[in-house]
Amino acid sequence: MAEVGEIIEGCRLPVLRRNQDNEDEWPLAEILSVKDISGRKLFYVHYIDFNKRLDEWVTHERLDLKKIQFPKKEAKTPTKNGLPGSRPGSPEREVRKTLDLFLQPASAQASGKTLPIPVQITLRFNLPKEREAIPGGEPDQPLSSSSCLQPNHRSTKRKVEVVSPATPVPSETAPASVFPQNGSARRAVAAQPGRKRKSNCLGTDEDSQDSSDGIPSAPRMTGSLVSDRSHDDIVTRMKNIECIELGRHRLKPWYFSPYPQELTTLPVLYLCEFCLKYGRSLKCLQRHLTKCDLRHPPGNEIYRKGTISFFEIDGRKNKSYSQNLCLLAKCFLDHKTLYYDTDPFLFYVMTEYDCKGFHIVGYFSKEKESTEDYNVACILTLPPYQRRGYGKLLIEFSYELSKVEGKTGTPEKPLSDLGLLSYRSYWSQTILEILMGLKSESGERPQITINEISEITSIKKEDVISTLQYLNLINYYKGQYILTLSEDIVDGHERAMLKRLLRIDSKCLHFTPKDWSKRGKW
Amino acid sequence: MSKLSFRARALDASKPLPVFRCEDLPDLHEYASINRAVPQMPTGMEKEEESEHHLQRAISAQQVYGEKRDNMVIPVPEAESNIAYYESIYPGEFKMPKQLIHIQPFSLDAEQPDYDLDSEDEVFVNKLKKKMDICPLQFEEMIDRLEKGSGQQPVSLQEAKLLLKEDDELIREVYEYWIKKRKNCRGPSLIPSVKQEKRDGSSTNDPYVAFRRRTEKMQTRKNRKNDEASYEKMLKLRRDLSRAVTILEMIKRREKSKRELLHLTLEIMEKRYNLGDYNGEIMSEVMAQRQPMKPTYAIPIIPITNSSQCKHQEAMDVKEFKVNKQDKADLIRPKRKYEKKPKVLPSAAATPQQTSPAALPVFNAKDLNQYDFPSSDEEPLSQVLSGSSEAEEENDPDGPFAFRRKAGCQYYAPHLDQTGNWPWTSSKDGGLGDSRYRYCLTTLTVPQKCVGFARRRVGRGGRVLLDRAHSEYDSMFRHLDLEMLSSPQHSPVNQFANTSETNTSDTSLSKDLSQILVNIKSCRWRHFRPRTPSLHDSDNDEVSCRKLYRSINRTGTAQPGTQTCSTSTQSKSSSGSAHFAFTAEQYQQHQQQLALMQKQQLAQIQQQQANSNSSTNTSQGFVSKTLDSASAQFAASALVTSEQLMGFKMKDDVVLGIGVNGVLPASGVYKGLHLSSTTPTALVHTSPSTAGSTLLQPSNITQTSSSHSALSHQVTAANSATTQVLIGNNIRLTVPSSVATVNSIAPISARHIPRTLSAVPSSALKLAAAANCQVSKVPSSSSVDSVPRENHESEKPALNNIADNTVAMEVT
Repeated sequence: MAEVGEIIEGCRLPVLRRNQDNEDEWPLAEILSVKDISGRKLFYVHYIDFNKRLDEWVTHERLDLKKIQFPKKEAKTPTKNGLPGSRPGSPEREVRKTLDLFLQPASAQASGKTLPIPVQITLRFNLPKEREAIPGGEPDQPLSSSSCLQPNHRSTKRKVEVVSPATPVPSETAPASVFPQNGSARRAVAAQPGRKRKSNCLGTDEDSQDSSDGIPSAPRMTGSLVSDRSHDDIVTRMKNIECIELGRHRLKPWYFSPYPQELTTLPVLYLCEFCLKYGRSLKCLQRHLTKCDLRHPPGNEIYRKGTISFFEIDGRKNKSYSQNLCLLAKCFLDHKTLYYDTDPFLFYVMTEYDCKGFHIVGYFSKEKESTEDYNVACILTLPPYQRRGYGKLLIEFSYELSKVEGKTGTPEKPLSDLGLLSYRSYWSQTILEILMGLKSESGERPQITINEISEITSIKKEDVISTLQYLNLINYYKGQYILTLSEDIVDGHERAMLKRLLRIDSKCLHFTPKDWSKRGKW
Repeated sequence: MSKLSFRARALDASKPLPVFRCEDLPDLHEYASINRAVPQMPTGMEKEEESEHHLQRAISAQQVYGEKRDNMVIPVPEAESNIAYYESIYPGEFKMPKQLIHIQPFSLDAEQPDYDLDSEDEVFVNKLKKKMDICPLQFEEMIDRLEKGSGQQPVSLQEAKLLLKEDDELIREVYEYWIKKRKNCRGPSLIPSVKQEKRDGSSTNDPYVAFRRRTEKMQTRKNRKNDEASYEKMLKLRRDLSRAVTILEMIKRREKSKRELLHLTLEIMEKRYNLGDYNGEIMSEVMAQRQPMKPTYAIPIIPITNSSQCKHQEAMDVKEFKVNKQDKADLIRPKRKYEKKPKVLPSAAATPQQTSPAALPVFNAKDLNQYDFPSSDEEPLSQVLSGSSEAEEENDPDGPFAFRRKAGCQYYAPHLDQTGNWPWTSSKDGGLGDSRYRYCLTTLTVPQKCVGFARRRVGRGGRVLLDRAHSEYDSMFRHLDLEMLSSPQHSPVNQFANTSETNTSDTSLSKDLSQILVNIKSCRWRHFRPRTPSLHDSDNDEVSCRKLYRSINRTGTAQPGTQTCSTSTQSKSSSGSAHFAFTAEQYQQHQQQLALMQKQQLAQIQQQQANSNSSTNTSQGFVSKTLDSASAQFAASALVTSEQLMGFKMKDDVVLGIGVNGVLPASGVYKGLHLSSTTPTALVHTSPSTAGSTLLQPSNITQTSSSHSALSHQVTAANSATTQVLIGNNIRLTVPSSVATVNSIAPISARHIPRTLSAVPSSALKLAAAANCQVSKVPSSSSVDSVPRENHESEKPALNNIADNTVAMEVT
């Protein structure tokens, strides 16, 4: 039985959680952060094998201290030492005074605090002294965190001192020679390994020579999602906004979103429902609403049926709205990246009309020119509208656009769990609709090619195949592949279709695709 | 089961898959074991997330139940949707527009402050309100400005005062409040905004930095062609802009001069006032002294070749025109003055004598402006071209150059006896009265024709000007048979043609004619004839003279000087061809015309034949005449088309056409025309079908002119600038002298269909001549030319250089 005071980042222990059925369960969780609010400790926990969106701050009462597992690599001084992630695929953990995160003025520590976990392998060769200086550092272990991620100034300074003696050495060794000689620039250099790391994840193999080539690398510029998690540091792993008020709704964000840092301490972030501008207080929102006369997303309405409308917004022409939308969406999309501007994207915002105006329900973004047949970049139904068929409507709409364009498309990867379920569901229903609608001609058995399905639906061929497989429709029978419709499938489909009331009516779509390649740069 | 050992075939997406219901295939399960042959597709999720508990549960639930179960869904953090005060903060209603909403660009850029007042501010503003006049919006605007004016450091009070427009008291209050609030603020600005990337790249990994600019270009397919096109456009834009700069520069200079003029005028006024010159006596005295220095009546006449002849009417009714033998630059020099001319001239020609007040030298306001003072566009032009002047133009031959009295000026009749001491003015007028310059019968070399009485003098830039004097014999002079005077150079054909073109066949006149001839021959009358430099004369001169000649011919007894003006429309186009580029449109026009003409071909030819042999009707309109000859030409070409070049397409014609010019040394007589041996080699045959005929041509020509003729109608890139050119020249089908030149340089364009006509109508002959005249405009082997001339492709070297020619075609 450990004391509450001993609980540090990296500990694993069962944490009490109430499930959907309102039952108590004690899933294993990991402590990601600890904070102290007026003498009361709060622990940010991540439930192992649960999605990050369920991470939360808990009090010590919910922790089962009896079963605590301390991190394997014990740190003598938790404030300084990092614990590089040992589990595959799991992001490296950083030890950090969480107080820093919330209480330090934003301007004070700037980039140092927010750096991802850089693993500067080069340091190993050249900086033996530093290794000694850092107690947690083992010879084979990257020095990562200690060199780069110390949030407080004291340690940063110390580190600089440590580095300085080593700088003469690099003159013989190529890798380190690019390090600046002065301490003030050290921080910038420290950032490079992280960057390099990121690019390594994109395909180049890691190599100590490369890692110090000094050329800053940035994420790829296409697409809207990141799949490699090496950039994931403790900051982006934790939700930073407690609550967002948007129109009638209060949303609990699921993930980190780079809203201005000074706003992250607010209990509620107030958003204008129509232009999505963020404000500190309700008063600010009220003032803003006297000046903002938008009652719909600031784009062209390209679809309307009943109360459902779609608005098209150009990420280049309407930057402020696009950025605000992305910030909001990031709260609910784990893999979304806001690293780059919104210029190469179009945003299709689905709204529901009532007497107050056109309320945002969800949206999807789309690259103006996709090199990989993506017809959707990010897609989101806002939580209050989830599980009511809007997601499928968004997906259906995205394929309607592809049909108009005469292309097949697929959503950008990686899919989220909810994304996978939604897409699978849409694909299944769409394909089954076609298969069951096939009429046998002149007594012959109806048949169809995968390409035909793809053409009719604009669903990319691979997705058609994966859906057919998932539904277990493809069978090898007497020397050829056949599609078989089981009774269960047919019944399930019919039941599902009865529930699917919201559909896109292609007649209501007023959309002319633009050839963005001819417009110069987006 | 041996089947299992077989690997199932790969799934072929283009192969039809039969669709079965499971119940139709009871034996399906027997094959189930090999169903796994189709490789599983990736889900598209991250591996570690795929294994998440709730997802797996949901997936399995779906597979078990075929649909989602409420308690099997993936749990998400809860959301509330019951904001009680929603109604109050989003007041009012919004009616759905009937039409789809279409946002107007820039309509979103309302000038509203980004800063939103908070409760703390509200307290402050309310407090401040008691002291001074401020509303929340005003406060927000001030804060907004202060924030946006500040970088890392807040602006100082002094700067704030510059930024804000309110009174100082208010500014100080708000500033102090702002500074205090800003110090306590956590963020870098009171207006929260997403962190921007730093220039030094240190923010690369800052998770709070978002929406970085994409510095590198996105890797998309590049359209190189597009790049080139836009590059060219940029170049053009740059050129145009720099041109605009030049123009502005010049305008600036002009306006400066104008100001100077104004000051001078003012000075003059002052001086006059001081002198007491109230009735303008002194002024006119001074002006009179100045006059000889600036003979305004002798405003340089525009070269005829430039064809927008500016006729300047004098009291003595002397027509001046100039034979331009040089100075290509002069020809091209564009003048605003000339451009306006054609508009007015036709009417001017109709009523030549109506206006110009008798015995009054014409002081042309425009001329004054042009040569004495710089002026802005609006002044003289708007004066003369404004709506009110429309009616005036009817009886105003001088158009914009007409004399207009100016208020406040006194005008006196000119002293005809004091026109100056020019060598050509008679001694009684104060001149030298040089006998070289007296009026005498004058014959131009090219075209060979008598222009009646004229005297020479030297004009600006050394141009030789001919002042023409009217005499009652003018009409007869025109018919003077030059061949009778000189040794006959030209074939009877030309003579014949000449007479056929003449409008008057008055017998009484012809009697006088012979009398005059006798007079001249016996040297009783002086007859001036410039020496002919060579047979290969400048085409330019030729053209210009011919034009003149043509107009004279056409208009019978009317005064030649005036008449030339009436042709300005056509001649402009021909001379303008130096400036024009050959456009597709024009070509299209030509093609259309051609098609039209072809329909009437045979009839036209017949008619033409008849017409050419008899004297042409005087009343025959210019236009109809042109059309006739033109149509004949077209028709002739059409004939050939059908005869020799089956399926030969007119369009191909142009696309493939390469003008090839051979130099044909002339033997002086049309009959003797033959091609030099070099010609065939210089010929280029673009289409094989024409090749044979083209090669045949030389021999045909040399044989007889009566039986064969090379008819090449030339529409090379530059020359065919307008079809009007063609027409314009066609009218004057049989200029004797032209034949000489034609003989000398007979370029042949391969794209024109050279061919033989078995029975050559005389019209066809004329056409040949006409066409060849045009040809002369094409740069030919310039060794022949001693004189610079109007050249479309003046830079082009010898025309027998085929390559060059081809390039020329492609360029246009």
